[in-house]
Amino acid sequence: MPEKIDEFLPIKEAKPEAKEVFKKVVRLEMDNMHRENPALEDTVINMIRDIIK
Amino acid sequence: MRIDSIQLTNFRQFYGATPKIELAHGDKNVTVIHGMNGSGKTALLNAFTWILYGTFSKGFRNTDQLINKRAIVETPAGQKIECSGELNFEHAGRNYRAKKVLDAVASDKIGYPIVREKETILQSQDTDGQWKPVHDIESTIGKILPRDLHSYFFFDGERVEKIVNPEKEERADLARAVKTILKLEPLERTIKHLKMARKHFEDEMSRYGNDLTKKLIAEKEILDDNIESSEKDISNGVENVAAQKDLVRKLHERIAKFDSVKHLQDERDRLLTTIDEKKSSIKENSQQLKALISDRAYLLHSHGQEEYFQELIKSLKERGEIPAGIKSQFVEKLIKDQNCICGRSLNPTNDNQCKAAHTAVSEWLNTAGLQQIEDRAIELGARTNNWNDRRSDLQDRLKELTRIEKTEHAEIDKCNTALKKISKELEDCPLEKVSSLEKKRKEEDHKYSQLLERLGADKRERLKQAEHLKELEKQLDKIGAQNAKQKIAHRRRDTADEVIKATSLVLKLMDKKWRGSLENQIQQTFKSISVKPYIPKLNKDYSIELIDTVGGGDVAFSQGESLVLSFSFISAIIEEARKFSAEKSEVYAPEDTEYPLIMDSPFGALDDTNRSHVASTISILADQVITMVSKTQWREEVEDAMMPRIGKSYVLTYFSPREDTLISEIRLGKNTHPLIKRSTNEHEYTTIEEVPNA
Repeated sequence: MPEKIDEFLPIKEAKPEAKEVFKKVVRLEMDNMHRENPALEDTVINMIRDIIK
Repeated sequence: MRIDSIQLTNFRQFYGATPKIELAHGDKNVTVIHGMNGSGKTALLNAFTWILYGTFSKGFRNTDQLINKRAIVETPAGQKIECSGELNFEHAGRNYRAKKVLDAVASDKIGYPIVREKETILQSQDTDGQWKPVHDIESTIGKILPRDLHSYFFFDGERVEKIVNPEKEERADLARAVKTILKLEPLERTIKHLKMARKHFEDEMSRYGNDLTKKLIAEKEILDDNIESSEKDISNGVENVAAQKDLVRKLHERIAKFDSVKHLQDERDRLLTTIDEKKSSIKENSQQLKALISDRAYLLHSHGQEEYFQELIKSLKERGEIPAGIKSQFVEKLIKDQNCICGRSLNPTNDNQCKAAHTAVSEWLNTAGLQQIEDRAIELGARTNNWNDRRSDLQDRLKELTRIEKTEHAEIDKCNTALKKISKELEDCPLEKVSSLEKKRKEEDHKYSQLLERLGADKRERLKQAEHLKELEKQLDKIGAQNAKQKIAHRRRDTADEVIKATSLVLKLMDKKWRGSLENQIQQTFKSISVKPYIPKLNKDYSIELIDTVGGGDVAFSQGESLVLSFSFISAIIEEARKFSAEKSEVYAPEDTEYPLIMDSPFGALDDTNRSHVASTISILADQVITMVSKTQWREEVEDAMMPRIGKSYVLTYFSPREDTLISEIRLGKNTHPLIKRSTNEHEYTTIEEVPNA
């Protein structure tokens, strides 16, 4: 059996703003996983701008 | 996803509209559709994928001619012929209806009519029972059952090799499919888009920064491009090495098929396994050597130091300096408390006597020993006592490990010499086919070595690039930000970078966790189905190898074993997806993880035992099973194994226009049902009927 690991530990230990970026970007990618969205790169940039002002 | 029903109109063999084919679910989750070869089983399988994805399985021919031929001939010229498929399904508590329609206008000319394909219509049912259109069809269906994965859930039993033995280009598809279901794909995309965002903020840093910042960022941009290219090279290299290894393995198998040289190939396989074992042993040995040197190499460099230290301690003891008569900590406490142990005050401001006492006690500090130093000296003295023994033990271990390494290298050399001899014998074989196969094998084996070497060089280059990148980032951090705009760009870039690094680690850990769990699940299912002493091993690209636990080495698998492995793989994927969804996560919302399994002719290549095991296992592991079987595949053992879970049964009756048609029937329960009947007109077509009280 594989050993017990907390795979989200690296994010849990990150700075609060990095955690927020991670959650928002992963959710965005999940929502767009099955469709072509060329604007994703800009959305990610704007997300970071909004979080770090 | 749970499929409730399918209905076809003029689709391939099915003339007119079929009844609504209701599919079983719940406790009795198996639907069996009986039919002879060519009666429309594969057409039915493809109807599912055509409606949902517009795709067909590899074995399905003439995909541009979906309209039933009898419908084409019988429709008067100028009138519309409709060919359609409608699927009703449920996902996450919501009902959906997907319909695909082809329009054609019949002409008076002979031949296939010009077809106009309409888009798929997808509707979902609201709580008030109203059907409303779903506009983002591809994305909605993709979320329910990803397109990349559909061939693993709607599969042609006669063409399953690509799951367990994929070609080079199919390996990437397989890896992507598994990563999609285990939610690794969005993490990869997160990293990709964050890298783009990081570059964007670095450009901003450069725009608002000084000349040195601009220079360093320009240098970093070139390095980033080189890193990307190196990573692609490594990824391609890994794929090429795996594909080339497979090619060489297949050549070995072909040579082994010649009885007169089989013993030579067997011996070669044995020698290659021995070389692999020896290489693993050398690797392990080298790790032990590194650990030993890192832990205990000081013993080799400190020869004579312990005697000096012991002498020093001894002379300090002889001089009475340790243990010290009085400890500095004790003196300091007396001065701090301003009270001597004799009761005299040590406050120098009280009177001259107290001042003198304070001075006298303070002078003790010059001769008092430090407790820590003394403790450390005693501890070190004890530790260095056995250095000679430990040094001698280390030297023995080092000698032993070096001896093992030499022996293993010598064994490898011996094996290589024997391999060369075998190769020469095969090349000189009077059978021309064997000789040419061996020459080809040598060429391909040489290419394999070259690919391995190139991959090693690419990996070394990547390590150098990582060092260079670290250095550049250090310099950029040192310069820092020169103005507010650059400062914020710097922060945004640093955050993107932090998330990239953390996400890469999360991805690595998740991949490790799910890969281990998936492999374990595949092994358990394979063990419960197969009687062979083999263990499936999951490769990095998620393809599967079978390892012989008795004879060693990987084994070539038969079509039957491919099928058993495919079932093990699919059921493991379903199980892992369920587990994944059940785990609470801050990022991933819980999902419906009900998966259907639609299989055309799944039992053909299996022997009696495997057939029975597969039939019973699959109906338990998958949430819904729809299986199309021929009369010969529907054997007693399959029926017995599946019977408790069969909820619905259908029979496809093929109507043949041939006068000499042999009528065929199938007995299901107490009744017989026609599989082939004589057509009353000049057309061939198929009808489908439910078997009552299945």
